[in-house]
Amino acid sequence: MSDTLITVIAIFLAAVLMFIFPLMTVSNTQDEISQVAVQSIVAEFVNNAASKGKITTSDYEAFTTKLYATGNTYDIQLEHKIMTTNPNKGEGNKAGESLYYSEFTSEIEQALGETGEYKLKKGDYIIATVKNTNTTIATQLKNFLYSIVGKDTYTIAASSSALVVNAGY
Amino acid sequence: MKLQYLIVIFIIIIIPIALIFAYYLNLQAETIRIQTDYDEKLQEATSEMMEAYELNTTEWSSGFSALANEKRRAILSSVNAFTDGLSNKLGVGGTAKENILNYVPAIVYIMYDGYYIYTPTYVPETITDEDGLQMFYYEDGEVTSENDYRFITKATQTIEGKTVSGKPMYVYDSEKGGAPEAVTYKEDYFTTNVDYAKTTYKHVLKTFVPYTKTKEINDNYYTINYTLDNYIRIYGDDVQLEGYMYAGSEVSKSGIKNSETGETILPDSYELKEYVAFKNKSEDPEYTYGEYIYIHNSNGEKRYYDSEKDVFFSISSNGIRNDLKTVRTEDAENTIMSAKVKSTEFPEGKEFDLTEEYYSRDPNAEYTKIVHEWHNTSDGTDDAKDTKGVHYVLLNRVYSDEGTKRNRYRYTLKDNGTYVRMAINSVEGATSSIEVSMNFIKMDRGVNGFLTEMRDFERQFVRQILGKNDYNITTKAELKNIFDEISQEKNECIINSINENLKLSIANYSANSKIDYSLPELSEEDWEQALSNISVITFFQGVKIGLKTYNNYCVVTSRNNNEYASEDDFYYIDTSEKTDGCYHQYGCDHINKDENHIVAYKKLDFLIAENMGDKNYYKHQYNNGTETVAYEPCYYCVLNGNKFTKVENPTFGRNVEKKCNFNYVSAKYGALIREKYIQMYRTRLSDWDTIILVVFDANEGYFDSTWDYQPKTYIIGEILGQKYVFPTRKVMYNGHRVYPKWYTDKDGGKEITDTDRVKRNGIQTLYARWDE
Repeated sequence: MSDTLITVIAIFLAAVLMFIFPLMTVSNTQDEISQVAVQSIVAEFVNNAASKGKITTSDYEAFTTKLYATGNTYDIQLEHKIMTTNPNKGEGNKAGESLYYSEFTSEIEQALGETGEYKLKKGDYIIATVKNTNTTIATQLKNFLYSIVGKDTYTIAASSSALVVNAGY
Repeated sequence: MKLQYLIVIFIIIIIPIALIFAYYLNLQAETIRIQTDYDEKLQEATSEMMEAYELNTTEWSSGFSALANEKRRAILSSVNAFTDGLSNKLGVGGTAKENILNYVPAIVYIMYDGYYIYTPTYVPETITDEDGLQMFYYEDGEVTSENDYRFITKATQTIEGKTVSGKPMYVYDSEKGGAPEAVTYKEDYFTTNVDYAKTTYKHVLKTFVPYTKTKEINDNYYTINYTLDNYIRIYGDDVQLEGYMYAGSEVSKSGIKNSETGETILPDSYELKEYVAFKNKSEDPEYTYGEYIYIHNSNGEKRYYDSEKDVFFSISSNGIRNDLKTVRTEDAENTIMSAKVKSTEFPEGKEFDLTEEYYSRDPNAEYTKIVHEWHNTSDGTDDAKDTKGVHYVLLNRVYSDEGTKRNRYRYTLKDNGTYVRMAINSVEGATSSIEVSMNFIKMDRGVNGFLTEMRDFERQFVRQILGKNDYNITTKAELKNIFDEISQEKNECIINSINENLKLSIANYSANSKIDYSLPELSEEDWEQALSNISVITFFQGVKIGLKTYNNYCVVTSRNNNEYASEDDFYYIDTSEKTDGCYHQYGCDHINKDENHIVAYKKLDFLIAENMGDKNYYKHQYNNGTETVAYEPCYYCVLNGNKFTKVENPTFGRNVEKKCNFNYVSAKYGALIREKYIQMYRTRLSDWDTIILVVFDANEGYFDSTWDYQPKTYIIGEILGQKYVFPTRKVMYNGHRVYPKWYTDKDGGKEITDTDRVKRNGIQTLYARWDE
């Protein structure tokens, strides 16, 4: 009887060792690689937009294509903080001191759809935040042990911002 | 036992251990990854901060406000840019951005002649009462009533139509409701004594700290003020020197040489022009537009020049034009006049009298009167233009006066550019002394250029400050040693000063947090980079990453600002006969560096010459007089950066001076000096040699004025040799307001019109007359 018990335990352990653990390790590594790649993709997009002074449709499409090439779906949020040039607010305007108002993803995408370009000016900030929306394999495996519930859970996230120094026009 | 048992037990023991190890290693790797990530983000945020500062000062600077305020504003805005940038990159948004500052113990801004530190400190909380008196919240203020004092609205309240300040007397209780009830407080709930004030802990930009050092020599104290390059100022009881330390000999070749006489003529400076709009008076309905030449005065403010009226003016922030350099009795509280007189020619080595006469502004007095005359006492003649071709440039003269007095001083000018002043006679009743400070810099039009003066400056400095009385600088090697020693001392002074202040800031910061922080040591390369131009050092500490807390700093140097010219802003050429005809970058190996003929010019001076054959030559504007010499770009450093080789065997440089051949270094400072003094010498200001005050007497009328009394005289400082400028105010006489005609005498005399030139006759009084 104890023989059988040990055998069952041994088979169970062998299955875990030979299948589950490698799978978990590899999918974790895969997630970490995606995280690094996404971080650099977002930083590149933002720095590109800041130095060119505008966001073009081709830039944006290349950005989304590269993101999806990592094998996950993402929720992209862009924010453009525009520096106000209201002359009543004192003499001159200083980057970092004036009032900022923001335009978000839907307006930016709308402008890209209409004209193909979204222009930025000096002193503005362009911020991009990316989070993944699907459940990766690593997350599914972890859910066997413990599960994280909630609407906005994500495993891969990256955020980057830049100050625009060249106007796009 | 069977083998399977052993294996299973073995596996059951090993798996948890392996899991724990894996987790721990993962954590280590994660810490390093996050640390690199934060390092990169800190670097990017600091670069953005410097970009914002450059944008604010070079492109969007407002030329109207005072320089000190402008600087602080630009710095505070760039600190904002830093926190915005850093919090955006770390994914912190919304109101949590202000919390980023809790992790920033200090930000150091290294400027040209001093530094700023932005750091948290204890700031007292204040209110202002109705009289404008600033009062502090008393730390131990108590409430003696039972009411809840959470709803105190303000410190000044109106009770039955009367304003009571400083002591809130009514308090509203939310539970009880109803009207506010009277409450008595301890009398000093608000205090004017800052020692009892309640303080809050927040980030402020501290005041500007200059790079100074004080030395005592023979019971005299001298203060030395350093800057990032070689400009040094020394203040003391009996000395006031400022200048560039320069150790070269080739500044003279900057002019155009007359091939017959061999004389070198200094070139004209270019004029800066701007198109501006202003109103002459605030009630004018429309703006006047015009293009005017402008200069920057010693405070960095813009002064525009109106060539028709021959007057300088400034434009206030409301767009109102404000003419300068005329003295009006009804405007001046006392006769404080600051005149920048340039290029006055003094006889060399001779004694002369400088007569300065002042009268006070007394409403009952006739007029105020200021006279400058220079007498050559040895000749007995009045003509101070008797020179030997040596120009003495008077840098500034500031004087003030109270009370009625007349002072005459005898100035003895020495040939090393300093002067000795002796008062000859003074009138009793003088209540205060006149301060006159003049800096003489001798500019020799001959071959030696600025060399003589700068060597004397160094001689004086070395003797008095370094205490080496016997130092006799005769050779270039000795000069170079002094140069080096002083550079090293300067760097030590700057670095020590910054470190001391930083330690204090970080001690304050760590006293307020739960963990002890210590100042990270900046390496020598970091200091070398930081002191090479305007830069900023940021510290970021306290964020928990993995197994430890983050603690790092970042140094970013500006490359594009209008405060500091570095060695890369010049091109270097060889002006000897063995020249290779090319212009080089700093430190290029392919120049004939052993000879002492390296001269530097600013990059703007290299213009494209005409097509010489098939090629475009970049020709230097100030060539040596012969048209066929043009300078080509050096292939190894300018055209093709790959092949740039630095000078071998660098012979000069310690700490933060970039190691390079000494001839390059001295060429760079020669160019800096030349640019500074040429501008000053050759602008329109240099054509003045004296200001003659002309009194316009209204005769039997009086001048139109906004003051209570009616001025009978009006004084205008006329420039010798120029056309007369007449008063713009009308004269009232018998109910008429007219612009009168001006005669040299009350009756008779000659009429002075627009076409007459001002003569050197001392005070002139012109009388008004008009046709009935």
